[in-house]
Amino acid sequence: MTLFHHRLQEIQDMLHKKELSVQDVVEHSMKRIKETDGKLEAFVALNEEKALETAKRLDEQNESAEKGALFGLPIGLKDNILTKDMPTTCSSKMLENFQPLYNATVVEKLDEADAVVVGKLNMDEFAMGSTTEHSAFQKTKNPWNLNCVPGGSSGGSAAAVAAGQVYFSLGTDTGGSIRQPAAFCGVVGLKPTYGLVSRFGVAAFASSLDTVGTITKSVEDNAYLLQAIVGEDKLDATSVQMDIPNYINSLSGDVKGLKIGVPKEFLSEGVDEAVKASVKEALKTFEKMGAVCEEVSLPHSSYAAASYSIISAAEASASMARFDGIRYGYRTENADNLQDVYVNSRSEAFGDEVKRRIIFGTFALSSGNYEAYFKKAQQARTLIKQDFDSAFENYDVLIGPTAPSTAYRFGEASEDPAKLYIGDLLTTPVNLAGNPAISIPCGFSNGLPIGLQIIGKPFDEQTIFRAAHAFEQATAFHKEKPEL
Amino acid sequence: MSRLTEEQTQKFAEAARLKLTDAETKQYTEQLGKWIEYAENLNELPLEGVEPAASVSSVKNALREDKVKPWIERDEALQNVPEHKDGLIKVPAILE
Amino acid sequence: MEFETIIGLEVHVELKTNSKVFCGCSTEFGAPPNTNVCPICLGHPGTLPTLNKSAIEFAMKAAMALNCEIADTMTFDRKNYFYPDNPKAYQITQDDNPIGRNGWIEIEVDGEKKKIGINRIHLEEDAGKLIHAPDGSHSLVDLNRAGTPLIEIVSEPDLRSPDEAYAYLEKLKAIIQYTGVSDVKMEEGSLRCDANVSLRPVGQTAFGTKTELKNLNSFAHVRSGIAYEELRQAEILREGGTIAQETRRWDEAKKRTILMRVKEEADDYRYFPEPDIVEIEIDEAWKNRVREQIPELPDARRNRYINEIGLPEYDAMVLTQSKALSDYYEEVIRHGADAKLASNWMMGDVSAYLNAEQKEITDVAMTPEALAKMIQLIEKGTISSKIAKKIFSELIEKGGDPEAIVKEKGLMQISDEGELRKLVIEIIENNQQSVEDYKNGKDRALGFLVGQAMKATKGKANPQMINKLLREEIANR
Repeated sequence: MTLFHHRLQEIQDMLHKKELSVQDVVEHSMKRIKETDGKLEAFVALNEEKALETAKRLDEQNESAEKGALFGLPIGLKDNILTKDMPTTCSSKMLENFQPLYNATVVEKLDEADAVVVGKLNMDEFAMGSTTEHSAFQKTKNPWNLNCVPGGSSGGSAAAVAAGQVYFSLGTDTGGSIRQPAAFCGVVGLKPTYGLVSRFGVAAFASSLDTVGTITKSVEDNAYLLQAIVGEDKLDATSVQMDIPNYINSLSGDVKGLKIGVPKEFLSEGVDEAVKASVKEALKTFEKMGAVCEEVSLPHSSYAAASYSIISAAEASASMARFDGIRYGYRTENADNLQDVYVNSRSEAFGDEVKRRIIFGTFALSSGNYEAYFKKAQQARTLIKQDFDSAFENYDVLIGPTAPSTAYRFGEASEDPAKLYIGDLLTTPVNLAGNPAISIPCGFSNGLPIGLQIIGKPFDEQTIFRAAHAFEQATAFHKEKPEL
Repeated sequence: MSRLTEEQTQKFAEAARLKLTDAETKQYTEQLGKWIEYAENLNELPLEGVEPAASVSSVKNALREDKVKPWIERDEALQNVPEHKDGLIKVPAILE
Repeated sequence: MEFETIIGLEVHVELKTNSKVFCGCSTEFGAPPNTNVCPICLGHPGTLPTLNKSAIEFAMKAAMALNCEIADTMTFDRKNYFYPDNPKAYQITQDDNPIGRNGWIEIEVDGEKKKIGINRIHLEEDAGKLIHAPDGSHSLVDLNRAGTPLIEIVSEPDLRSPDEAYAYLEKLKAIIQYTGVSDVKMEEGSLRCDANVSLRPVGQTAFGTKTELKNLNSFAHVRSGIAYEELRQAEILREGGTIAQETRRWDEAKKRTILMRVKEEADDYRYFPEPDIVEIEIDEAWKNRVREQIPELPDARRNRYINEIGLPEYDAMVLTQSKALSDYYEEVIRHGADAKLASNWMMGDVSAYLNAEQKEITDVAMTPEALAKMIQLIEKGTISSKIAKKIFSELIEKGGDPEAIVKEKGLMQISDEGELRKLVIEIIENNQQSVEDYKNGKDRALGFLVGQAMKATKGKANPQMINKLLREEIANR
C-alpha cells in the first residue's frame, strides 16, 4: 500500500506524530509524478520548488500553529484555476504564456487549509470537450488503459488522482466535466451545487453552468476537500451565503429508509449493458442496506443535451471573446491592423473544438436565432429544473449511471462530435438544474471503471455523501488501483 | 430545414473574429448543420408561457459597498500585455 | 415640400461613485494611464463583476428625477462587440429590464412648454479611452475609465427642432446636476450625446430613415449638427433622393457632418442575460429611501421662486438653471438680502464675471453672506450703487467683509442734508447756464448737475438727495 492509499486522518496522524514530514509527502507526490507522468501526461506544469518550500514551511509549523484541515496534502489543480505562482493555460495555445496576477478564491482557501499545490493538470482546451483530447499540449491517458481517454474535460485531474500522483485534485464541471472523467478513471468526483463553491479566479466556459468541484480516491476525502473550499465569496455574486454543514459528520454509513429515485430515462437506450448491469447491482446494494429504490421520470431530460449545447455555446462565445491578443495571451505575428490582430490571434491560437462552439454560440445568439434557439433552450432549462424539483419532493437522491459507457479509445469519440453530446445526456441535466451530483466507482467492464451517479437536492451535499459513503463501505471497487 | 450555408458559417465566424480555411468552413458547416438539427428537437416542446431560465442562482441583490480598493500596480497590469508604450496598451491601426 | 424634423437623443452620463461599477478601482478623473485598473476591469480570465450599490442608487435617483417608473426587478445583459476599449469584448449593460422606463421632462422654447418623453434609462459600464496616433499607424489604450458607471438616457423621438434638442439637454443637465449623481461636464466626458435625426413630410405619420450623429462635443455642436442634418436631408429629399441609414460625425471646423459609416443592417450585439450578476429586486422601501434623498429639482425650485419669493418668471428660470448658482442665491437671501435685488446682482454682475473669467460660482472668493451685506448696505443707503460696483469687484476677486471695506476706504454715502445743500448751492452758482437750460425744459441738464455733485464727492453723495436738493434750490431761485 502506498502512502496515498491511507485515509486523510491517518496521514494527518503520521504527520502529527512526526512519523512522516510534509516534505516526505510532497516528495512522494513528486516522485510518483516523475515515474508515471511520462506515460500519463496528466500535468501541464509542476510547481516543485515552491511546493517543497511550502512543505518545509509547514513542517516548521507542525509543532506550533493550528493546522489546516488539509495539512501537508499534495493537490493538483485543473489548469483553468488561476494561480499566482504558476502560469495558467486552460490547455490552450491562447494562454500558453499567461501569468495570472491573482489566485482563484479556491486556491486561497486551499492555502488556508495548508494543502500543497504541486502542479496544474491537463484538460480539454477551455474545458470544452469530454476526452481531454482537445488539449493544445498533450493527450492525457487513462491510468487503467493507456489506449483510452481519461474522460474530460477534467481528464488530467481525474487521471492524476487515479494514478496516485496527488492526494486529490480540483476540477470544474460545466456539463459533466468532473463526474465523467471520475467515472472513466475510477475515482470519486463531486460537482457541488451551483453557488456553493466560488468561481472567482476560474476561467469561465459558461458562467451559468460552471462549477468547481472535488476529485478524490474516497468519499471521505471528498467531504474533507469540499469542506475546505466552500463558502460565500464576496467576489462571486452567485456564491451563496449559508450555514455550511459539517460534511464529515454526514458520513454515518446509514442509509436505512433513504428514498432513492431511479430516473428511467437514465437507463434507456444508448447506455451500455455492462453499465446498466453495474448500476442495477448498485441499487440492490442500496436496498440491502435498507434504502428504498423506485423508478421515477425526468420527462424533459432528453432535451437536456440540446438545451445544454445551446446555452453553453452561447455563453462560451462571450467568455472566449476577451481573448483578443491585446491585453494578454497569444498575439499573432501577422498583423498590419487591429482587425488582423483579432482575427489572426484568435484563429491561430484557438483549437478546433473551441472555434466550433464559439461559432455555434454566435449563431444561437444572433438576431433571428435568439428566439428560435437560445430562448427555447432557456425555457427547456426551466422544465428540466422543474423535473428535478418535483422528483425531489418524493426522493432524497436520484441514482443512475454517470456515463453511458466506459472510457473510449483515443480518437473513437472525437470523430463524431454529435456522439460526444449524447455522452453528455446523463450529466448535463444536473448542470442545467444546478443540483449537486457525485460519481463513485461501482464496477468494471473490460478492466475499465464504471461510475455511479448520485444526484442530490440543491445544497444537500450531505445526503449525497452519506449515500456514497455507505455504498463505498459496502463495496470494494474504490480499492482497486490501476497498474502503472 | 435550417441547415447552414457555408456563407452563413463564414458570417458567424467573422462576427466572432475567426477566420476559417475552406476545409474548416466545409467541416463546420456540416457539423453545425447537424448540431442545429439536433437543437431543433426543442421545437417538440410546448414552451408557451414557460419562463426562460437565464440562471439557476438563488441569490438576489448581491451588492458591493462603494469603496475604493486598490489592487494591482501598473507594472502588473502591463505584465501580460504583448505591446505597450508609456503605460498605454498599444494596438495597430484601427480601420473603420 | 415642407418637412418636419424628428430628433431623438441618447445621452450618456457618468455617475460619480467612488469606485467603478463592477470592481473596486477608483473612478478618479485624470489619473496616469492604466493606474486605476485591476484584473476585473482589464477583463482577465476568471474575474467576475460585483455590482456597486451606490451605482444603482445614483441611477435610481437620476431615473426618479426624470419621472421614470423604477423597475421592481432589474437584470443585466451582455452586449457583444470587439473593440480595444472594451476589455471583455462584451459590455455589461441592461437590455431587457432597465432601471427606469417611461419618464419625461418639460422643456420651454420661445415661451412654449413641451413634455419630452424618456423611453428608458439603463445602467452600464463605460469603455476605456483610445488615443489615436496622428499618422494613424497605431492607437493607445487607457483603461482607467473602463468600468466607470454610466447611465444611458434614451429620449423618445419627441424633439422637433435643434432648439428643442438644446433646451432638452440644458434641462436634462440641470436636473442631473441637482440630483448630485454626476458632474455632467461635457468637456470631461461625464456627459456625452448622440443624436438621431430624420425628416418626414409634414402630415406624414411614419418616420423617415434616420442618421446617427456622433462627435457632438458641446450642446452648441448638438444644435449645429442637427441644424446641418435638417438642411442636408431636406435637400436630398427635395431632389428626390433617399436618406441612407448611416452614422455621421460633426466636424466643428468645417461646420458640417461627415459620413463615418453606412449601416447596411442593424448592428447585431447578440445581447443575452449576464449570468454573473444576480437579479436585483428593488422594493418600495428601497425606492422610498432613495427618493427621500433627492433634493428639490429645478422645476420645483423655479415655481417656489415665483410663487413664494415673488421673483419674475424669467429670473426664476435663469437662476435655477445651475444648481450651484441657485444654491448660492438662496444663501444670499437667507442672509437677509432683498430677493429681487439679489436676483439682479446674480443675473447681472455675478454672471457676467463668471462668464468673463470662465469660473464656477463655487470658485469665487466672495461669500453669499458678503454679497447679502453689500446689498443691504445699498438698501440702507450706506453706499451708492456706483460705489457698490467698486466694492463688488474687490469682493468677488479677493473676498472680505463689505462693511469693513466701506469703512476702511471711506466709501460711505454722504446723506447729510446740510452738507449736501451747501454743495448743491455751490454747483448751481458755478453752472448758471445748465440751470437756465433746465428751467427752459431741458431735463438732461439736471443730470449734468447731479453728475457734477457726484464727481465732487467721488461718487459718495446720495444721488436721490442730490436730485431732490437740486430741484428745491433751482425752484427757489
